[in-house]
Amino acid sequence: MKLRRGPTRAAVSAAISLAMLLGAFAVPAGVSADDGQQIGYGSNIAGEVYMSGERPRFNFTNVGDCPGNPPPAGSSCELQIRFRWLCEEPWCLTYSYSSWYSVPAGQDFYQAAICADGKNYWEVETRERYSSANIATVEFWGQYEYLGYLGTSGLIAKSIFNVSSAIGTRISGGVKMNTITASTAYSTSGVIATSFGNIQGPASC
Amino acid sequence: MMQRWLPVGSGAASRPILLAVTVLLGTLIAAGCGLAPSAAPAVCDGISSELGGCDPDRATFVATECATIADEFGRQLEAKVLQIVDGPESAEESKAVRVGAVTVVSASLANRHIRRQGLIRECDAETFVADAETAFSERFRSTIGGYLHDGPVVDYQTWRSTLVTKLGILDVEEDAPVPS
Repeated sequence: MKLRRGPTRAAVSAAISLAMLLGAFAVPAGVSADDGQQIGYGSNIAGEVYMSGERPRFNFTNVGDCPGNPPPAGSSCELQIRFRWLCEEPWCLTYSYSSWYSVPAGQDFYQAAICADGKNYWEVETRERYSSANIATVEFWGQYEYLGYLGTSGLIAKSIFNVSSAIGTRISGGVKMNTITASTAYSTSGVIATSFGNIQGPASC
Repeated sequence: MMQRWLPVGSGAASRPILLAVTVLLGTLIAAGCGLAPSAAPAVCDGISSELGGCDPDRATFVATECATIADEFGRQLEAKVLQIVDGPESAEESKAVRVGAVTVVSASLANRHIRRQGLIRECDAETFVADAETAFSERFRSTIGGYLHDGPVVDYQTWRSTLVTKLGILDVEEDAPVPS
């Protein structure tokens, strides 16, 4: 099949499709992403995803590997992130994904060595690799924070509660994100930052 | 790397149709996302299959003393890490993520074996790592610091201290029931 580059403008229909997709996850913003709270990870989103040297980058406040740092004794976490992006044309209905990356403890930014040409809408997902001494039932708790795009909010992990040992924190007014019963597992992933719309990448990769 | 080339015949004249199809698909997908429950991942010996907990080639332990279990841990960890380091990139996870996963899974399985052997009060993390690292080659020691995170390379001693932290699971919950 003969191919050509797609049109540069189809923002309206792309926005409608994105609204439909993201609307399923949209909730009234519980708190602002810039509210200055001290929370576990991937929060206090200081800036949206933006292009730096033709590569996507975002800044955040990384206060520790485990949400609600320090974690319950005998447990440890690793914060991982990946980028996903959607091209601007109306037929762009599925995301492209980067690999999952391991973010160094305390590093307040991440820039991936990936390239997507043209204009794209970007999001950043996070997950936690959780590990404990014995099999335990562990809850991840979070709160919704405004992501600034089409009224969407992201559920940001803020604490861990070990049900088996009754150690940790359940956030008052928060949301239980997921429960795992294991000694070593990944938490459910969630979106913590967006590009607030389509942003221009390099002309070609 | 990522090229966005699109089929011919998708110009402005076809936009209303595309718009309708897009909205319809968006509605269906959104409805599907709302209805479909996410399946719980499989877990083997307490370790999620997403991390390799159910892999047939995961680390195994047969020794019956702390020092020899540590030796088994060190040898298997080095082999698995270098296999990732020397192998191809993955579209799913970076090498650092995969090295981290194989490290915590091997540590978790060693911890489980030690508890089953009734050795949990005898084995401590610091001594365990000191015994395990006698199995590490010079190449491993000079390489591993590049795979602690997807960030700046760290030296061996920094990586080693994180290994002691991960194996801190040997120093807690010593009164917990022995894993089945």
